[in-house]
Amino acid sequence: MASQWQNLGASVRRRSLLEEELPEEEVIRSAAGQPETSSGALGSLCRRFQRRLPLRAVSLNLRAGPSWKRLETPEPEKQGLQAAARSAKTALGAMSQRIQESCQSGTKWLVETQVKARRRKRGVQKDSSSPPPSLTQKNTRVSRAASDLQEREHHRLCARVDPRVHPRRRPRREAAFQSPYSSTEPLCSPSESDSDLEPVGAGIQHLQKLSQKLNKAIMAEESGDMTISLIRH
Amino acid sequence: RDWTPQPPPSCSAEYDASMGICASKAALGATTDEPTEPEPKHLADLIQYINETNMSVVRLANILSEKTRSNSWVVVFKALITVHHLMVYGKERFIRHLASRNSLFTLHNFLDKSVTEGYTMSAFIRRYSRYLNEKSLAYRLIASDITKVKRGADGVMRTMNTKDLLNTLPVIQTQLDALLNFNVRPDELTNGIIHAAFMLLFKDSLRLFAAYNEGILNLLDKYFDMRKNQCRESLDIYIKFLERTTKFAQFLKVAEVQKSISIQEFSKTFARRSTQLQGHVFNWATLSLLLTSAVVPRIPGSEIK
Repeated sequence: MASQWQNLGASVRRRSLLEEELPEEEVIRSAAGQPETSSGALGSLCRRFQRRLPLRAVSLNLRAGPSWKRLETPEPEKQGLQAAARSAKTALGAMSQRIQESCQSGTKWLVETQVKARRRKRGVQKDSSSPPPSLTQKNTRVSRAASDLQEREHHRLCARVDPRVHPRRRPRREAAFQSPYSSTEPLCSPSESDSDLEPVGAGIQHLQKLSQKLNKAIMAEESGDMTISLIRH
Repeated sequence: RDWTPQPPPSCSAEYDASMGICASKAALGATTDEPTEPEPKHLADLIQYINETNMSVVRLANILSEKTRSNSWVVVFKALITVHHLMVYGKERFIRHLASRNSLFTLHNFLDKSVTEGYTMSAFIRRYSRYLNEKSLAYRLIASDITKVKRGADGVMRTMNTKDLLNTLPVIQTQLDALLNFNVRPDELTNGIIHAAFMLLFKDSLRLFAAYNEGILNLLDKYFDMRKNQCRESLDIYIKFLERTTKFAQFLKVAEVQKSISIQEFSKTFARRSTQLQGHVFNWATLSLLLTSAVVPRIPGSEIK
């Protein structure tokens, strides 16, 4: 009899410790008087996971864009293991969110730096070019250009796969394109891009036109149309 | 003056000897202390000597180098202009010889205090000599005169491989920096000597920047096939290219003021294009960051540089 009271006391003490960690339903269930041995294995498993991955409210990345798929509501009898798996996945999701945030913070820093540099230059420059396109047009073009370039690189990788060349780089790149962290949508959302950005491809066109103009200027200079002479007449 | 080369005499030894004497006289004639630009006839004789004969250019280079040790800014400036003229219009064997010398011009401390304009002109002499040194060094590093390479879609810079491109573009950047560092204002082109130097610099600048631009186009084309460290290097080169574009636009503004150069339209177009390119750097910086983040998994919590 005394030993039974002792055992009960010990179990009550253990339960009081667990009350801080266990959710309410499980506390009520354990307080109903079920003997510990029948759910001991599952309970100890749960406690092990809880100690390592404490249950708390986690803000899931449920926005549009790269995200985890929502888990379906688990059946009641599998809730223990599902909860453990869910908490593990949540921790990994929080990790990926941190990675994306650090990407975006780097992007935001670049945006701010370039915007500041551009504002300074605008204060110096008097000539203005043709009126810039609207914000939505530019943002759409930026995101489209970024996604086009991502797709282009993916196609290039598929077309040019050679197992002998850069064996380490290829699997990493393919994994990056296949992993749940990647997405066909641009990582830099349109709302975060600078309003004065031009598409990436337009910059290359500028350089090509510049090259043509330079070649014309050189040919004109060589043919003497510019009337360059070493001695002023 | 007709600069068409005269047919050589029948005896080649006499011809060589006469040419050698002629070249020496021309070199001395082009670097007198008369405050005017080198005379075209002397420069034409020197070009003929370099282009039409196989005679050694060592003595010619020695005469001109000796003249740069003069105390008079006129003589020094004319000697530098003569060397530059031979680099531009002469065959590559002249610049090849200059590139092989241990040292070229040591004028970083030059100062002529004997006349009023000596102070101003001495500053330009220091910058000009530095540019000519960089031009020779560039030839030594890449084994060709970048202002004379073939341009276009099948040109040297457009078809260069990634490794050579990443080695060559910084060399071009350095040479262009030295050229743009001449930094003369229109109101400082007060005499024929500095004007002659500026004209040669302008001629070089067009070709140098054209090669530079083509190299950058090639770099961007190859960007997505590069390794990560090459991407970082390329992005750095590209950002510096945009800075040089702005400075080159300012240089052209000085050139378009000169009555002997009519490049107003080209200068305006270039200025507009360089402004449009300024907004482009962010796209490449961001894209590069995004691509390197996707390609190389990051350690959680580590900063992305």
